[in-house]
Amino acid sequence: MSRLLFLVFLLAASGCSIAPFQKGTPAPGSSPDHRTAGPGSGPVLTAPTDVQTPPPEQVIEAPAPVQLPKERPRTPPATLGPASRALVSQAQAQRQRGDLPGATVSLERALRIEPGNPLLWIEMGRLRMDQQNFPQAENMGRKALSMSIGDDRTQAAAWQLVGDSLKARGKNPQAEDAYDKARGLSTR
Amino acid sequence: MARKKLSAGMRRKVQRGFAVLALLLLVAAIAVVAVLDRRVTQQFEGRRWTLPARVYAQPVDLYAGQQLSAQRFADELERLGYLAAPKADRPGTYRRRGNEVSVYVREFRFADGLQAARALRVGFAGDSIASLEDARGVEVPVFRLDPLLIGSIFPMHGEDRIVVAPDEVPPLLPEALKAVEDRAFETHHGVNPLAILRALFINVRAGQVEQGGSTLTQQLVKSYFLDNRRTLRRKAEEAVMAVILESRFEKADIMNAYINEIWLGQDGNRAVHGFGLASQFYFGKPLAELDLSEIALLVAIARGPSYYNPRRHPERAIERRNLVLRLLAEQGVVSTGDAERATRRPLGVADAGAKGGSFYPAFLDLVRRQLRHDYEESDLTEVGLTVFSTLDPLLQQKAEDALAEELDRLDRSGRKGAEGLEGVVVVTTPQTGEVAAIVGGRRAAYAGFNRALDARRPIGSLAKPIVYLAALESGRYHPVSFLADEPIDLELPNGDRWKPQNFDKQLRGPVTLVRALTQSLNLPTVRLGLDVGLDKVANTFAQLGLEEPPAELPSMLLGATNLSPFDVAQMYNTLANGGFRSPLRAVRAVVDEGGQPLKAPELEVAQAVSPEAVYTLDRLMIEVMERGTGRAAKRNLPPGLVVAGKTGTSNDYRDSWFAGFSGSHLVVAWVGHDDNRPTGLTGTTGGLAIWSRLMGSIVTSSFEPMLPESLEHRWVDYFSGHETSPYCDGSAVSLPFEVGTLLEPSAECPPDATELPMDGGLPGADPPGTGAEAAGFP
Repeated sequence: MSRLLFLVFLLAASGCSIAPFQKGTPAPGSSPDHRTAGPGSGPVLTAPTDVQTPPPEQVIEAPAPVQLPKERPRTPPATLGPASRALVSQAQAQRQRGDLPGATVSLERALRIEPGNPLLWIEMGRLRMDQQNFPQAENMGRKALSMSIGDDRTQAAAWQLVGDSLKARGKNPQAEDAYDKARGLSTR
Repeated sequence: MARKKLSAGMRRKVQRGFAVLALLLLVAAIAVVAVLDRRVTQQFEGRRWTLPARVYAQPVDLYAGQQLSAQRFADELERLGYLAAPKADRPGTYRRRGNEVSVYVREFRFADGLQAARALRVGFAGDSIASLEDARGVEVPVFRLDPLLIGSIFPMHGEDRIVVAPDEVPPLLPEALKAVEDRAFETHHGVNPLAILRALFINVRAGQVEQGGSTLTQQLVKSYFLDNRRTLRRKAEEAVMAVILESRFEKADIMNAYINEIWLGQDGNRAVHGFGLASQFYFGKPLAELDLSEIALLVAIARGPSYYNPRRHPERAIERRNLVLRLLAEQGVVSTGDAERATRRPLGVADAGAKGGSFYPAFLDLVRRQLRHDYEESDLTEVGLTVFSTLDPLLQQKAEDALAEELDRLDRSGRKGAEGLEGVVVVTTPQTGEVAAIVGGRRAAYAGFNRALDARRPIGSLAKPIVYLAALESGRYHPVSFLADEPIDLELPNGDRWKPQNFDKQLRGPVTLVRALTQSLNLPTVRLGLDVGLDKVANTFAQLGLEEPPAELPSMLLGATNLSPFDVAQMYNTLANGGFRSPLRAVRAVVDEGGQPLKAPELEVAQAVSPEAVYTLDRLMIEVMERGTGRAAKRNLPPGLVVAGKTGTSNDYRDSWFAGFSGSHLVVAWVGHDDNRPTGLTGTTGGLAIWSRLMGSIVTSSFEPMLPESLEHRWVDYFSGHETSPYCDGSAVSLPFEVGTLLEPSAECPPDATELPMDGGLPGADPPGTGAEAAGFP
């Protein structure tokens, strides 16, 4: 229940706030933030970086033959569109009165409207928790992680879900790792 | 006297004999009546009809921001049998005024409960919905249209029907049936001797059977026992059962049973029973919404569904319908004016391809197979399940058109082997793993061999991305690793020698990995696969969702594996879904007759391969579309739409494949001959042509996967693999590498070059040579 409230809070907060651009230090245990790393930051055997070389961001923003993923500052937190938000509220009401098949229908409708929205995959994972389908809850969380790179707030919620699904299966050490990641991201 | 005495004794004996005989006859009659009584009462009272599962398409969800134009919305409403009216004031009607459509959406019971009928105003701006409000102007965030009924799961040669309750029947229908078929219905006791005599008289005079004297009750009994023998005994039995029914049940129950029971048409193996299904079958809308002329047509058809088939014999049907209308006016059921106006209406029968029938055999076959995991055949055909499927009727239509148009074009092309080709199209939505459309052949409505599921054909170069994925997952390769394009001569386990060649039989020496895949080079691919290991490659096939991984033979690296288009869709769906495998679903939900949810396939995801390897492979497959064998698709696609894909051609051009995806759709297209003759087509000329025609005709989004944390994009030279700058020349490509990967800087154009070349050749232009090299590769 507290997790549910946390997520509701998250959704609400994400819907009405402007995301702060977070530059902060990498979370413990996470990989170095490569998005700001220059050519010299890794073991690269290229010519030494000249001070006058334009920063790599500039190079990547040059005209591109194919559309490239944008050079990432921090991604603003994911938010739901009005239609999905209505369906998520409906699904939450259905879950609360134990109508899990109904909640499934509502959430799947939302997913068809915004299949790329990680918040919906987290909601789906929460529903799978209610259905005691813990492996799928974890998988939904991992899918949300893959779709929310650079969005700390959403990543924290997804790790929380992954942690809960691991804990529900008695995988406590792995669950603690996931919770650590969630904490690290939400304090960043 | 003696004679008299004798005769008196005889008479007594005869009388006694008669009495005994009469008694015996009476007992026999009572026994017969009792037997008939049991039969007919059981039939009437028990489970009166076996109800095939009804299958619905996915509903259209309306919400502000949805990409749906006013025109397409109106088309959708027409498809659902909504009536354009001056005022949308009852369910099933709509009104369009420029950029606003008012619609009264019908009530419908979805898997999550009843959605009440509702009047809505939908505002459009350009190609999307700008606003959605109810009749009082209150914003509605999201609302579903009632879905299209796409068919039923009925037993072979079986009855199909939609049972309607009395309150779903327009009051005019029973009145019309009485007026035309059985004027004395309200008063007779099951049979109408007067009507029989009249019919006899008319028929004798005409020398043929023109009129039946059967009451509606007799027709109902006859239909129950499906016996068309016209023997006197049958007639007598029917009459007795009709009298029994009348003595035991109310007139209204008998009328309702008649309306749901009677045979009203044939659709291949499927017998259309009852006015509920007939309304969908002929008009594509619910019975309650039929107008006078439509009701009159159904009553006309009831007299002889084959003879008065309005699709096959429209002139007979319209003549009989007008006769019905005249009778209704004569008997005062409707006014003469109404009848005359209705007489002037066209038949109004919906296209066979669009409405209420089993016109999606390949898709329905998949629905049936998926449901057979959880249900017995008899559950599907008898107990009235409602199945909510994933079919997108509009997409299905576009896919059918794309296939038919391209195959027709090939017919006319005069190419050797290209005439009379068959083809398959499978469309999925990758993230949710739903099957949106399946076309099983150029005659899509023809139920036969289901090529999409059962035609297993060699996949050719569609295997290559899987080989490259296994290589990328091994961590030993990146997009500009060098592969040798040199001759290969292998001894196979059975002692045969295998000497594969490139499509153009040329050798190029060392080539970059991106180039080898983009140009679909065979020799570097075989080397790569052998180096990674056949077991690893076979395992990657399985990870992507193939139930039976291919035999671990070197020829599998070039796609000597036989797979169905559906198998290919399952594997490529994982590539289109960021490496997450979702078992493809054709069914979203199933509910029982009372609306309770039952078991159905669930939305599942599982991370099948590493996100980094899939991201990298997907980028390489985008290059296939940009500068490789998929280039030809560009002219059919909207500018700027990013797609990824791969061509496939089997030996001797027997199979032409293309599998590729945008951000929201995966499409697999196959072209070939059923008898496996060569087609003369490569993947580019067959599969890709269909694929791009379809992708270019639907609303779809760019493929824009998220860059995994541990990767970064760098500019490299497509040919030399050296790190370079986008300002240098057309052979610079931006590809993902693990952060910190060692790349040799280009001598001619190092990564820090910032000058634009003088000839203005921006990096979007084709690199010299690749166009010619790429053209026509499988």
